[in-house]
Amino acid sequence: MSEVEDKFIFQSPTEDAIARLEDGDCKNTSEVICRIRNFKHVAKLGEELKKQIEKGDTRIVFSSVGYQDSQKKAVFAIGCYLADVIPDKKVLLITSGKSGDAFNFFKASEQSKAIDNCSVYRFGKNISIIDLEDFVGFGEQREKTLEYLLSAVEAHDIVLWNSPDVQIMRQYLQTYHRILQVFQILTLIVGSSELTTKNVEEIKDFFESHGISLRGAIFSPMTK
Amino acid sequence: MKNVSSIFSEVSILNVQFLFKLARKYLWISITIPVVVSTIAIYLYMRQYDIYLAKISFRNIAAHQDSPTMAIASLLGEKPDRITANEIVGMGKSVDFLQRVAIKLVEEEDFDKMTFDSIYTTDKVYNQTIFEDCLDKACKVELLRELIPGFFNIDFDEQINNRFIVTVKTIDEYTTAKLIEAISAAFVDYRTESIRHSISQQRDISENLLADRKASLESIGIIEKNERKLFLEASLIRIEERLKLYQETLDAKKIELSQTQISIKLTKKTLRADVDESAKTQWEKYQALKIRRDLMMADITALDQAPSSATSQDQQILNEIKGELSRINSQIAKLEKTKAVANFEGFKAEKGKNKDYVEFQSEVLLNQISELEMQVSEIAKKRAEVVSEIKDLATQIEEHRPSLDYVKLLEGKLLQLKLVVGTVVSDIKFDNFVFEKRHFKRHGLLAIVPFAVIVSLFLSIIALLVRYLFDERIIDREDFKNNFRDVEILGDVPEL
Repeated sequence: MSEVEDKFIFQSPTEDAIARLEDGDCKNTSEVICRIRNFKHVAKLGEELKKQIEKGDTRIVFSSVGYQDSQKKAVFAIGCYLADVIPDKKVLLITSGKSGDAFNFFKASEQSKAIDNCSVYRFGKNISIIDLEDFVGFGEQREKTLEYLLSAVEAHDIVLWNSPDVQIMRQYLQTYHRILQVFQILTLIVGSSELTTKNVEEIKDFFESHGISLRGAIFSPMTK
Repeated sequence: MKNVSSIFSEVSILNVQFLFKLARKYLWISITIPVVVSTIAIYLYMRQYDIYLAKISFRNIAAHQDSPTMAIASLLGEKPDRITANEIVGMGKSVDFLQRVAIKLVEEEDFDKMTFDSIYTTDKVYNQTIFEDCLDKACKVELLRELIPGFFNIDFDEQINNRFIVTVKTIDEYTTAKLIEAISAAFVDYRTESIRHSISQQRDISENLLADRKASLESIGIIEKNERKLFLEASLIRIEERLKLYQETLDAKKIELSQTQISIKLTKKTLRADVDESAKTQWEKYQALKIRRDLMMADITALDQAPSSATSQDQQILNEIKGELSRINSQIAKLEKTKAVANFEGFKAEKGKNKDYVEFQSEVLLNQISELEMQVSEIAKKRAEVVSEIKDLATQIEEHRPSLDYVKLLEGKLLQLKLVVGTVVSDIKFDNFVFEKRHFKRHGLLAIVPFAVIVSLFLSIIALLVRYLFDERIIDREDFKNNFRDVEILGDVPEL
């Protein structure tokens, strides 16, 4: 049995914790991880990313084509794992929208007001979550929110960004350009059976044009 | 286009596992191509006509010394035309042979019901249709001659020496049977004619040579002289036979004359001898006693057969007769030696009677001998003349002996050739039965099914690979890894 699996057995939640989780009361990152059905995959992913983080690539972008939900799940699960295994580091998760499974995270988080109507959500001991839609949605105050966003990135040790579709980023490049510049590596979610090499090349070229190199890929269980 | 490296494997050239993955990915290709190929294969199988095959074997009996032509030819000191195995096989392709086969087939009453349509055809038609453009027999023969080589072949029998096999294949059983018949008959005819032609040519050459040589010899009269010599030789034989006969007769007559002259001499001597009168009287007494003895024996026999009541007087008479008989017997015995004297007298008398005849006979023989001696002399003289003439002719002919011998040889040869021509039989002997008659599809299921499977696999693999190479979608992580070698695969997306 690997070291990672041992760690998960060690961190298995109590019966009380499971009862609370089933009621949607998620207060602990380990509990979140234990809810993940294929938690061993998360552990492997987390360990792989941990190695990269330890090498200095602490700001990681997650991107995909038409597979936003899987992308979002991966970011939250990996974020929780990293926050759990590196408890002394502050983790920032940047996402877009609160729909789907991510809603539970927002629901279980403590919301604190950042600037104007923008909020930062605190989850567990060392995870912060920012919904990018709150920030880029304010046209006139865009500079202000961007500044706050970039400062938040600077303020955290580990930042995982569930980036929007490349086409959208191209469309709003004046906004995303500055955000992109603070990230270091790209992890691609290969989740759609319709994903083509051309799509991958496009994404890769886009991010590389902003100094972000494609280092790893995560596969959706749908794609064998 | 995708990176092709994933298609290949270091171990099995093609990455089979990856191909299976592609087959699942492009299921429509994996199903459609085998279905289409199978459908085409079934269609092609069903469209085929049955091919009717028949074989007949034949032997080249000229290769054996006991063949009829060989036997007759050998007897006459002639070497007939022989054919090699390769020539036999090649003969099957000769235009002359094909022409014969075509003629035999076209002359068949039901030629129109046969079919010389290709064995590869998918739409069978009969000769009536195939030859519909031909208005006469010659056209049909010409067209058929071009067609038939495709329906048969002649091969060596690999197992039996000097055996050949004709294999006929058509899409009609009746046509196959008729073609076999026509080929067999044409082969035999063709060969018989070839042999006859060869011998006829030799005969013609011999005849011409003989005529030339004879003309040359006739111009200098050698032929006549030779014929004269032959005639004289035959005459000489007859003369000698006659001479021999006359000589033998003469000798016989001389012996006979000698005997006759001896006979005359002895007769004369006999006639000169005298007869003993005393012996003559005793001989007459001897004759009388013999008669008396016979009478007495008859009396004794009569008395012996008389009844038992004979009286003593009778017995006494009987005893007296027996006593008398005994005395007579005694006298007869004494007079027996006078017989020779009595015979000599008869012999002398007889010789006296024959004396004139024998003397006449002797005279005749003398005349005959004289005549015979004259004739023998004449015949001997004639014989000497003939012998002399023969010798003379032989001397003249001897100078031209080689030419005459050559003419003789040619005549002998010509006679042999004439005899051989009359007895020519084919040196190709066909069996009188057809073997290995069967019908089958040109491409059987055992060939079609594996072919369809192989073609399906091949086309499927090609289609899958082409589809894959031009399909930009990422199939799986292996595919991703092959196309983006510098990107590490971290794991699977977690399910919350």
